[in-house]
Amino acid sequence: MTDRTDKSPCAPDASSPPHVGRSVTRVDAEDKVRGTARYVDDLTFPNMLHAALVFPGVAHAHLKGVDPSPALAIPGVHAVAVAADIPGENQIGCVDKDQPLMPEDRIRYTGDAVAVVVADTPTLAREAALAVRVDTAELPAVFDAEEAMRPDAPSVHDGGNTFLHFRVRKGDIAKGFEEADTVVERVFHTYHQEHSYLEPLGTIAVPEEGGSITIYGTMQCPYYVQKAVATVLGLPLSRVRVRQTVTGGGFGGKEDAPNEICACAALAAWKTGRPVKLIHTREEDFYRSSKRHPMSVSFKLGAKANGRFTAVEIRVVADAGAYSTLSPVVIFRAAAHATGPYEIPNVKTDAYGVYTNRQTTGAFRGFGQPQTIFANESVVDEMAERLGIDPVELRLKNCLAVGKRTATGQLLTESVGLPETIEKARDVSDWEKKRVSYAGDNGRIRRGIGIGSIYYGVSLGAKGLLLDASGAHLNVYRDGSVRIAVGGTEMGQGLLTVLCQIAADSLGAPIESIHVDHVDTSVVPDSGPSVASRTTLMSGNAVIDAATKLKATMGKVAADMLGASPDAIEFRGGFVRGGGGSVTFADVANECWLRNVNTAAEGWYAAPESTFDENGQGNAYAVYSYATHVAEVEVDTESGEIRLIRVTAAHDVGRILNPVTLEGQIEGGVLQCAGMGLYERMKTSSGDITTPDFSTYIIPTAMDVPEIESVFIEARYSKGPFGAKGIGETPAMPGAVAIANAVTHATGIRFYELPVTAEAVRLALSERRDQ
Amino acid sequence: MQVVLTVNGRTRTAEVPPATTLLELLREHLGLRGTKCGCGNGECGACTVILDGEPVTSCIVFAAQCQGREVVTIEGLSSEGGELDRIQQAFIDAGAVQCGYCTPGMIMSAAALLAKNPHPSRDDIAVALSGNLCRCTGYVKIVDAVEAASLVNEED
Repeated sequence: MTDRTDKSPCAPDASSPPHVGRSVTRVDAEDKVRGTARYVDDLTFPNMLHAALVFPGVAHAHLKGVDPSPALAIPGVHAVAVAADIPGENQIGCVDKDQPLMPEDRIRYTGDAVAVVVADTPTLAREAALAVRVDTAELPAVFDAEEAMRPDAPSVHDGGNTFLHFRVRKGDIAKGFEEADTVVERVFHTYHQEHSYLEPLGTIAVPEEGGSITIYGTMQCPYYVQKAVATVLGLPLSRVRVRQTVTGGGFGGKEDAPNEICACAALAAWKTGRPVKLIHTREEDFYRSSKRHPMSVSFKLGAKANGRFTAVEIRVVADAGAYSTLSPVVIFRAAAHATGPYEIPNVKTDAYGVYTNRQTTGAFRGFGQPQTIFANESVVDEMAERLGIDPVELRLKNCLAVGKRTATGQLLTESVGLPETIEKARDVSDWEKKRVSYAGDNGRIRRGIGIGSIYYGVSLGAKGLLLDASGAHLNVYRDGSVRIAVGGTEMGQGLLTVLCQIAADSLGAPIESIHVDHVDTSVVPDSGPSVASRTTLMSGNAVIDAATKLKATMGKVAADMLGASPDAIEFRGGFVRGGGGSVTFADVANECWLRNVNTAAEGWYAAPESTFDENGQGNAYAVYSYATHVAEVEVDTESGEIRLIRVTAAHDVGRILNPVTLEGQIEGGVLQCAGMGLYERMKTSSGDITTPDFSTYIIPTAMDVPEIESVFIEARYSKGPFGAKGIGETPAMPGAVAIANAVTHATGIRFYELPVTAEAVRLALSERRDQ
Repeated sequence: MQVVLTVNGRTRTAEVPPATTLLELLREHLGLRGTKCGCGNGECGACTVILDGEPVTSCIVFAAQCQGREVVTIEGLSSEGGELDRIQQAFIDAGAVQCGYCTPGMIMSAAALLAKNPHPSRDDIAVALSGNLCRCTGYVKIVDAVEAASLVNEED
């Protein structure tokens, strides 16, 4: 398994790369097991102060005044920064400009902060934050997206609350439903899900010489933070340097939220002229970070008696919370994918984003899709039942494949492993046998087996074009060692390791000579966010681009050294070969140094163009990843308790880059699906979170782990690094509905809300008994 | 107030405010930052250390309660830069590390388990680690790692 030190040179004509595809040990694992990896809270700077935020704790109110004087009177308190102290623009919106860093006249949710208190210690800062006097006058508030859409609902911003509407129109649904022999129509509900990364949000802002500032922090998107801090402080981007620290999980939760905390610390540092650390408590993190959008999804599907889908009509209402943050990108994705991974000739989808006075909602692994997947994959199952067709067969009959068209009319031309994911999941799980044998259970414990299939447009697609490029900087030193900077972030997923593999094989350098840094915005140009399963693809291709340039310049020197033609030079496994001879990579690097040849190179990769017109037609994403999960459950028909016993997770990843890190992504995703399917619902009451900690918001533990069988399908993507596509999101997508479908198979009862809790199952079973 | 205790085999003395937690004592006063804070409420297990042989969430133990007692942290499992403890090595080999924030606490819970039960079943391991939350790995490779470590003879 561990072959990072494997230095044996491969034969020059060997077709498989030496490192890509192998379980190279994580490059950051040793620091992490020793406890020497430095997360932001582990860093300290001379003269550093500590900050805390002031939360009025009301969901909707006029802000009449903020009086910091009682806090300032406390010894050890250095400053209180309020909106009036902002030297630049009071604005941190990611896409729409609707979010002030600190509200000036109106509070829109309980996570809005109105002041930053700076003190000698974090404890003192929090005590002083409670002493700041905030004068508010409460306004009528709205806590439900459907209610917020009504004309008489309180307006969260000026104008109506419905601020987003994406449409997909394909064919003629009236004709399609007329052709249908069977129609299934249902409404589904999902709720806030919390990312629950283990490291809370945190940052240190350090004022530097020359009127610039450096921001350290846990984050997915350093270039977003750079922009937010520059805007708030009124600085050019060149004076804001953002350095991502070792990041303890993200899952989408550290995409937008770091803008707020980093800009607050930056303002405090600017005001005091001293480094300022701001770390959220877990409860503050619950209040302040974006969640998975609660959605209601109406889903109507028509099919012929032979199982062919004829039409689908979908209405999605997403609760965006108080500010839009990433909703324009998340809800676009939900709209584009809402039909599920099927070719359906007639489609009408409307997806709405709606403001409420609740927590903001943004990116969470799956990015708006798991909610609509719950709807489409439940309805497909119900359709299968109505038609008397096996759920696997019905999916195979309608699923996307090369030559088929998506809901947006996109013709799929390559890398569509969906049918194989369904077939492999069926075969490996022993679906056909269990589907029959589990149905025969008649004791207190009933078993069930269920399936869910998905597709996921890799990277940002048509609504993120301005961000969809990434850079890399490769520097080969005279001793042959290589230092690489990229714009994509490691947040636990294994990027640094996979980039070492990609760099080693594309540059031909020994893998142990390669070091990849965490992101520093002063080194690599704006590379967009690390989200949407794009980072291996985008940063990987940028590294390959830089390596290709380096090999061209170094190859000329090597050709000279070997007396060979530059065309005949091959870099591989730490050696450079040509004309029958070979030298080491380090020899060539040193020779370049002696000859004054530059051995640093910039790499760049821009995503292919994608489109999405006003009718939702176009090539929405360049390529898609596909997955099918089969879940098996045991349901206690007395208590309602559900035990997830086995999950078969089949994923088309384009190409496997590192089997162990890939399995780790899938296993973690399966447990997040279990959370969404069975346990996790962040509850709110009048805008207040009633489950703001891990005693009340329950995520899966080591005792909730099913047997997990990962199955890989490699439908290569011609534009991916070594043929790979994204994998970050897809493991967290098909599982929740597969679990719900398995519970239905076990109990005969269908559930229209996630999570399917023991209480819900027990209630449904007792209602059925009473009938 | 003054607290005198043994940390990783060394006697340490610190002057701390009365409400200081063991976690704050270790991180802020003794500079041992391998132990992490994930929740501050004793719910996530990231701050787990071993106190007189028992795994505790150091964020809800007062420093004052540790007077004269013995604490082992992640830094105490192996010497700085020296050979890794078998559990640490097993975590690397099994691919049990992702973001790494839960890792030190997870390893300390595992160390406490193996000290008492050298050959635990997978269920025993899951129970022993059930107070340590991990959001990245799905726990499979973590349980694999602890099981593998339990099969390494410490005397070898």
